[in-house]
Amino acid sequence: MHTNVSFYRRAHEALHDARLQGALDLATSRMVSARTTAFAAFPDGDAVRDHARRIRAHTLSRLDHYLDRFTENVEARGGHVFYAESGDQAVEYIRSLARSRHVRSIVKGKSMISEELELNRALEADGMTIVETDLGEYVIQIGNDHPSHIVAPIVHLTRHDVAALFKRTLGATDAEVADIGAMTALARRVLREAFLGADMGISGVNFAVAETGSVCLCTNEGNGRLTTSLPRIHVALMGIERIVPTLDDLGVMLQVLARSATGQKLTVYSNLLTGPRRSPGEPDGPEELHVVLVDNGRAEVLGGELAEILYCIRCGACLNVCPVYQEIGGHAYGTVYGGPIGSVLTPGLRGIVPFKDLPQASSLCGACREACPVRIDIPRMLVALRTQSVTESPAWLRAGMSVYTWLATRPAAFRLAGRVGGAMLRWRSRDGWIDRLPGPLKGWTSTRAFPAPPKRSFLAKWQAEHAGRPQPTGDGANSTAGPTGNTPKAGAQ
Amino acid sequence: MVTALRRRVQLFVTCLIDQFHPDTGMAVVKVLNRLGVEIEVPADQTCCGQPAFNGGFADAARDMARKTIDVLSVSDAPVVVPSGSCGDMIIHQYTRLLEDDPAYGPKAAALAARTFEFSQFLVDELGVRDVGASARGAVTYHACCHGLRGLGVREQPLDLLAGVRGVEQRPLPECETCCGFGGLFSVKLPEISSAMLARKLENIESTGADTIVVTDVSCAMHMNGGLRRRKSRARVVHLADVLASTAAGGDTPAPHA
Amino acid sequence: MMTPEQRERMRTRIREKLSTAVLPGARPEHPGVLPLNTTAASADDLLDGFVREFTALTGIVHHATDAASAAAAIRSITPTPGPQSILAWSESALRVPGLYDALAAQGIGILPAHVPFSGPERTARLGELAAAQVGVTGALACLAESGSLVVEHGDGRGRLASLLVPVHIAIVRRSAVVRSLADVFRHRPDLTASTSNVVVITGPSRTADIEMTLTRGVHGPREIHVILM
Repeated sequence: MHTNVSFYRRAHEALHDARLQGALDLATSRMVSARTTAFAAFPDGDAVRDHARRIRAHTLSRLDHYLDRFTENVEARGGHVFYAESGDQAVEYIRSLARSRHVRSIVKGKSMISEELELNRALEADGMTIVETDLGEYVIQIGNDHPSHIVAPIVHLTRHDVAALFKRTLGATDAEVADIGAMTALARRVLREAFLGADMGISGVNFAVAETGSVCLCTNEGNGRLTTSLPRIHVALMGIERIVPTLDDLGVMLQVLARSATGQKLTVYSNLLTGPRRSPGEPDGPEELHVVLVDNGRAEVLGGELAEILYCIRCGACLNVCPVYQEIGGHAYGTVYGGPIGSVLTPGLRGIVPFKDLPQASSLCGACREACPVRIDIPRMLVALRTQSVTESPAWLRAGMSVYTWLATRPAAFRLAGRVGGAMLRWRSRDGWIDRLPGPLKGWTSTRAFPAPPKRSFLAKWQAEHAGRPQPTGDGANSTAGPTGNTPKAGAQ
Repeated sequence: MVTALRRRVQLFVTCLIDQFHPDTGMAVVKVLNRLGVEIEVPADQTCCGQPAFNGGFADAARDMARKTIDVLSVSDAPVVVPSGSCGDMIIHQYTRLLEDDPAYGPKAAALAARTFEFSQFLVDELGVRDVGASARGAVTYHACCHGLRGLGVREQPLDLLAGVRGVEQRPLPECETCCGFGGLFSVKLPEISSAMLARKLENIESTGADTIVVTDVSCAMHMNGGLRRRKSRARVVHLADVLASTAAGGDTPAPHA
Repeated sequence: MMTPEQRERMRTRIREKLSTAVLPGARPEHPGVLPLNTTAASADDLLDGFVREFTALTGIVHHATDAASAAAAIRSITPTPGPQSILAWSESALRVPGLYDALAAQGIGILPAHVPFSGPERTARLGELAAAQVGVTGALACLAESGSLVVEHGDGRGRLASLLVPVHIAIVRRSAVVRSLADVFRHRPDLTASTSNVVVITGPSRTADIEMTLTRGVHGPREIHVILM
């Protein structure tokens, strides 16, 4: 995971990348309207979302219990469960498993957590070939790129980008990249060979089911099924929080996941795996199933005020509706998880200080919370993170806020400061507007004029008009009341 | 629904209206008076503390919250706030901020229970959609985020605008998308804020409306600042400015006197 | 590879962290099953619903009454019928007695489905299976709400028959249509007890990764058919 030092620079570049802007508009508007349409046609949608939230909340509150049950049930069906506290431990487990089973080639389904772990790099260093099989992730892999969106990883690329890439890295002919259909067919052929020859398949997990010891994978392409059915070893990587208690609960999650992500009722394949192949009767499936439960900072998040972020089911709806994400895309965040979810999860998992810019990159509009299928209150947690890192605020802001607070708790001083400040602004103004604010406030006036305040504030006008009037009720020691009804002198012009 | 005509409320005018848009404060009073509501204006009101809270300055926000609670608790009259963001602050965030304060926690809850955003007060409390206003021209409505998602202010401003004689309402594309103000966000991340603003202004221009109506003066200042730079004829006004207008066949008021 | 202490340490850590966790809306008891107000639909309504949704996903519906008509339907779908064209579930799994003979009569042969774990036999078998044109499976249920097929694998019911092939055909009883996945889980709470894999299939394989443009038949089948018996 790359550091966040240059978030501002990356955001700046994204804002000036016309092609990216076009791609972001297309992708996010499509997905937003698909989601809206899907929920409009889903009359039980609100009730189901509320229920989904209750399920996630309850599950996390008894996470240890459900992980126990899940483990028992996986093992009862002949699977293995490995508990990895750190990313390194997870990687080490998979590496030594691969070595001991003489694995040479690996196919991989989409897994965000594997990116947290930087798993591919470690396995390649061991001399294994590892191929991403989700089309978007495959393009990212052969292009040495990074995904820009949880659900649609290559929204930032055009068909021409992909065509050029296929020609360069696969030696594709013009005919083979003539259009999107051709490129998809080419990828299918190439990846099919990888599937057929692979010794190990590594997948993510959308939901683990505690009561049955199952893992559920939701994909549209079929690569998730091939990855988990063809190779003789299947490794399923999951964050410890990706678990639900029962099959019924899984059904609830499936009702909201695809609708929130792409507007589909269900993804094409909801693939429920319980242990390895049941030989000798079952003709296909893996010989071994290993579930790797990864903490990697999640227990830490669970222990505090950011725990709600673990309700997330990775649908990507918050990214699509976020007006900031719509402008800068996923790369700007510079981390595995971008957008609203990433702005909380990344500092939560990795610490606030190196990622203090991410929670600032929000107007707190709340669109994410509104779109989230489990109603995660992301703005609350962004403010919590800002509060945690307030000492990292620039000096001018901390000083300014102290002064402002001092004044705001002393009404007479506040009024005076308002008169003085107003006069200064009017002095700088031309025609009622200020075109250059000083110092750190110049960001405003780079693209906006700032209004000069009128000479008399509302409270000054009100006092002037109502001084000395009798107070109707209350003790009114520090209030003045205006007359009622339609009398022409009613305190307004 | 429709309550006794003689009502009395306190006006929490908000620091931005007080300093930058005093006429909007006057407009709020005018509209409420027209509906038979008496107004108290606590003289010691200052700032609800939202900029501090959103910026992560929790202690500062608590100081301002306690002060505001004190100021608004002298009288037990309901509080009307012509701002979704300040309204959300008082109605939802004060109780959170002060949940560990044995003295102010309960006071925050009591205040929250009798505080209303302006359009919600008119429609949901007074049961009024027609405030006797008339104006002229084409308007379009932008839904400010805190009011919309924090307080559920959705239909009320539109109902009130529909009650204004002579005004043509045009729908704003992406009307619920944030304008990019976000408080300190507008100066800390000015490029992103400006990109969001540009998108909002393009949507506004596409309606051809000269007047944009909002329920938050903060958003108005942000958008007007951008419109000024574009040398646009369009202006953003507060809902109260439109509702106070009774100019027979007159124009909707400009935000700057 | 992992010591019990490691697992215990993680569990203890989680329990510890739970004491300070801020989990809005969490209750100690499980929230149960959501009771949704759904009026009972008739079997015909369910079937119509399924056909409508399935067709909207570009699925193609056929009807058959016996082994011969089923075999004829399969033949009509198979591009070049021959002895190695089809990857299918066992006849007993398909629950159409005589189907294999009927297919043989149409000149269509079934590939052996078993995939060894390793060795040259595995490579050879996979090579054969990868060339199959059509896969034939049954389905535990059809979902009216979403046009989905719920496929329960097991003895004689391989995964690849609905996965490796470009064209997937599911032979289903008309009475197997239910409203939604919740109904399946309710009728079969033991669903995962005797199978390693249940998959809910909703349309042909697809992607919109490139420029949000929809393409079908990425890794899984590009065409799906259902033969209603």
